[in-house]
Amino acid sequence: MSARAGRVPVLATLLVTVATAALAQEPIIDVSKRADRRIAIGVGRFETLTTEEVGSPAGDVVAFDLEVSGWFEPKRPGMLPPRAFEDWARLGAEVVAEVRQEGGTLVGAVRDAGTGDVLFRREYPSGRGESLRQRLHRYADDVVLALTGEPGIARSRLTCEWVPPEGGDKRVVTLDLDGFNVRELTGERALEVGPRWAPNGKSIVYTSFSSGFPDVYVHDLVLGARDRVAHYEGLNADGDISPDGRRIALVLSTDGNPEIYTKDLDTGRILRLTANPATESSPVWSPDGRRLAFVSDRTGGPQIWVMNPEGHDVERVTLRGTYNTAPDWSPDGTRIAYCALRSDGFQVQVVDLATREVTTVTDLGGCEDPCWAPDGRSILYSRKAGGRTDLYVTNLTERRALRVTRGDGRYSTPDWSPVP
Amino acid sequence: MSARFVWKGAAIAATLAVFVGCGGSAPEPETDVVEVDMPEEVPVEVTPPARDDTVKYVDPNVEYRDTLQAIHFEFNKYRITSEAKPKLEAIGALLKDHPDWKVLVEGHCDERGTNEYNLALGEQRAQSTKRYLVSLGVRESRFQTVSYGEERPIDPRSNEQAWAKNRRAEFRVEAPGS
Repeated sequence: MSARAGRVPVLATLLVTVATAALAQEPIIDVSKRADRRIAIGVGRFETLTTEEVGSPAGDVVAFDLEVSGWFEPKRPGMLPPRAFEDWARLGAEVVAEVRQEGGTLVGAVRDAGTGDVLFRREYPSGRGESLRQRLHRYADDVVLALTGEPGIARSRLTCEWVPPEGGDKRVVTLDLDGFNVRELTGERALEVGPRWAPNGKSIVYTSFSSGFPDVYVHDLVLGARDRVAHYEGLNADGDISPDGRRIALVLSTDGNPEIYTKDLDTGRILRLTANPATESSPVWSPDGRRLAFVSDRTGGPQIWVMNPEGHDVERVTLRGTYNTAPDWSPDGTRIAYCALRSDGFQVQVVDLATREVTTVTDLGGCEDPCWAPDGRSILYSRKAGGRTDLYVTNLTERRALRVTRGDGRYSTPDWSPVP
Repeated sequence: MSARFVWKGAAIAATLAVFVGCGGSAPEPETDVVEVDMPEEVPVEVTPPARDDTVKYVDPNVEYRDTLQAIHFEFNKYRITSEAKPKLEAIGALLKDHPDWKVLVEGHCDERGTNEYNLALGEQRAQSTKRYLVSLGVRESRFQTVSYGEERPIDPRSNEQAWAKNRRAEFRVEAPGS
C-alpha cells in the first residue's frame, strides 16, 4: 500500500486549477490513462457528523458512495486515525476527502494528499429540503464528476421486494443506493412483487395480489396514487414501461398460458406478441424501444430471447446452459445481463449481443435478478446466502461485490432508477 | 350442464416430450413444450374481459379434503405426472358430482430460480392441472387459476424434500350448500 504514495507527485502534475464552489469542466484526473486503477482517496470517519438522519458516520456514507461509483478506492483510517495530513499519503491515499459542518452548511472538499492543495470545494447549505445524508450523497457525486469527469450514481434510487425481519408477505420498497432510507411504496398488506421503474423515474410498475390475484399496477411516485393496468383471468405480471412511456409490456395468461403482450397506456389497446404453449415471462424493452428481451422455454429450459415490439424477428440470445432468466438491457443496448443456473449455482452473466460472448459477473452462487447501473459500469442483483437475501452491486471492471443492504429483512428482485 | 367441451390444446399432448439440441455443451433438459394447434399470427389484437374477483373461495370441507389434495410436479416442469393423474381423476369425479362448485387452482414453485419466471411456471402448473380436469369432462368455465410462484411454500426449508412438497397445485372451492 505504501508504494502508492510514490504516485502522489505524478498526480500533482495533473492538477488543473479549480475555482472553489464550482464544478470542474475538465476532469482533474484523466481516468482513461490509469488503466482501470481506481483513485485512492483518504476518507476519515467524520464522527462529529453522525446524526440521527445520517444513521452512520458521515465518512462511512461518503466512502461507500465513492467505492460503489467504481472510480475510487477509499483508504479508511481504521483504529489509528491519521494524526497529521501527511499520514494520508502513507496510507496510500492520492487525494483526501474532507467534510465538515459550518453552521447548517455542509462543506465538502478534496485535497491532494501530497501537496495539500484544494482540488475541489463546495458548500451544501441546508434549507433546500435535503437531509444531511442526501447532501453527503450530492457531495460524493460532485467529487466523482470533478475528479473523473464522469457523472456519479450516489443519488440514484433502488426499488425491490422486501420482507421485514418479523416475516410476512413481500412488499415493494424504494431505498437509497447505500441501502438506507427504505420506504414502503403502498402500505398495503398484500403480496407485492416484481417492481420496475418507469423510464422517467416518476412511477414504479409492480404486481400486487390485493385483489386475491396477481394484477399489474403503475404507482405514480409524485401523486402517490396507483392505476391498475391489467386484471384479466389468470396471471398479470412482469410489467415494463416502454422508453417513450406509451406502452407497457407484460405477461398475461388470459389466453390460456403465459404469453407476452403490450398494452397501450392511452388507448388500452392490447396486442399479443407470442403464440406458443411454452412458458413466456419477463419482457423488457431495449433502451431504444425497438426490441423486447424475454424468457421462453419453447426450446426446452428457459432461455433469453429478443423480438421486435410486433412479435417478429424472434431470436434466441443465450445459447448455452439449461436455465437463463431475468434479462436486463445495458443502458447502451449492446449487452443483456441475466441469471444463469450453472454447476456453481445461480450466477449473473452478461451476453454481448453483437458477439454472443458471455461473461460471468458473480462467483458466489445464489445470485439472481440482475439490473444495470444507470452508467452501465456495474450490476445490481440479489443474493441468497445463509438464510438471508441481500442486494449487492458488482463493478464490471474488477468484479468486486459490494453489499448494499444489511440483512434487516430480505431484499430481492431489485431495479435501479434510470436517472439520479 | 355437462356441455361437451372440446379443447384443442396440450392436455393430451403434454405428456409428449421434445428434445432440442443447442449450441452449448450442456444437454437441454427434457421439455414440456409440445406441438399444439395455435395458428394465429402475431401480433394479435385481443380484448380480454376483466377478471371476476367476486368468487369467495375457501379451503374444501373436511369430508372432501382427502380428494381435493395437492398434486406435485417435477423441478421446472408443469406436465401432469403419472402419480398425479389418479388424484386428478378422483377430483374430476368429485367436481362432476357437484356441478355448482367453482374451483380455484393455485400453482406453486420451489424457491429455486428467479421469482418472475416462477410466477409464470406456477401459472403453467395451474393451467395444465385445469386442462387435465377439463379433458376429463369438467366445464372450463368453473375454473379460475392463480400463481403464487415461490411466494407460498408449504415447507420453508431449502432441501430436496421441502422443494418437492412446494412444487404443487392446490385446490380451493366455492361450494354453495356444502
